[in-house]
Amino acid sequence: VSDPTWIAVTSIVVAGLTTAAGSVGPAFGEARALAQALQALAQQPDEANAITRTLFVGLAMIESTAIYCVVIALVLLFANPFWGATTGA
Amino acid sequence: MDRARVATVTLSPDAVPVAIGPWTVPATLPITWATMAAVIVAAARCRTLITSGPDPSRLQVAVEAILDLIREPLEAAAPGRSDRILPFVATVFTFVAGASIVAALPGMRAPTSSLSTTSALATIVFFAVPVIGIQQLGLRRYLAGYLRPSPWMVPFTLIGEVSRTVALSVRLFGAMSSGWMLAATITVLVPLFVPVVLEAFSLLMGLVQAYIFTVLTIVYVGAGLTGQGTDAPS
Repeated sequence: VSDPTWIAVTSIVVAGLTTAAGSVGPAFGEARALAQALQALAQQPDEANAITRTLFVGLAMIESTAIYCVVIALVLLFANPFWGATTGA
Repeated sequence: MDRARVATVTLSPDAVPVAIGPWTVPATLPITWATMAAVIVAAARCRTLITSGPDPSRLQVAVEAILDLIREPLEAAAPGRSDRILPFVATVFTFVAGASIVAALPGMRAPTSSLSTTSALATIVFFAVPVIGIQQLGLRRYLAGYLRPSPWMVPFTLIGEVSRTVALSVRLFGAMSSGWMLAATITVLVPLFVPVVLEAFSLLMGLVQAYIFTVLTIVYVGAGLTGQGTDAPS
């Protein structure tokens, strides 16, 4: 398959799918983490600082997977390694 | 016209050439210099205002509050050693946070939205962990930390050190670059008011990412100091 059209079509479709899958999973994860943190805050308001800090770091960890998906989608759209090989661009 | 504006959405400032005198350099270079200049000027300004007297200025209180934000997790990760490590960690935070703030100015992009800049930062952290570890513990005790759970784990520990460095750089790059691209795309669709809200949101996200980058740096340095290997999150 050396037709650039197919590479464009595949890249765009896969970029969309990557973003979709990459937002659903972390969204569920972050929702769970936030719900648990709210529960912990309600039970132990004195520990608010520690809970919030851990929550932030944890959310960033979960969000990393979403960010990796975004990076892959961006690479497919803006820096596709297979695009130049067929079009010479 | 819209088509032309969409075409200017680039993956990173690396792809935007800027002419400085006879040279053409990627836009990353001048915006990184601008960020460094802004950070240095701000730091020098804060330095002249510092007083140990009874009546500190508002700026000093704000700076000390930010410093405490970093010192607290650092003291938890490296008890008793935080004063020696704080300058490095705080510098990393200042630059990444400064980059996020500078990105909120019109026409600017965060230097951290270039993978080159974030890779450089992550590489600094990669080398800082053994340097600080050897400085604080001595060579033998630092290396002994690698054998801690079992010598069989050494290859995995080494792979983990490389992969967490890659993850550190890609995370910051993805967050900063996607924020800018979202703002650029929305500006094409709704040029009025909405981009301002989005810009404020990406400023918040940028500062959160700066905090995350700093806390992860602290966790990695702390893991190197306790000799527990790299059971830290990546």
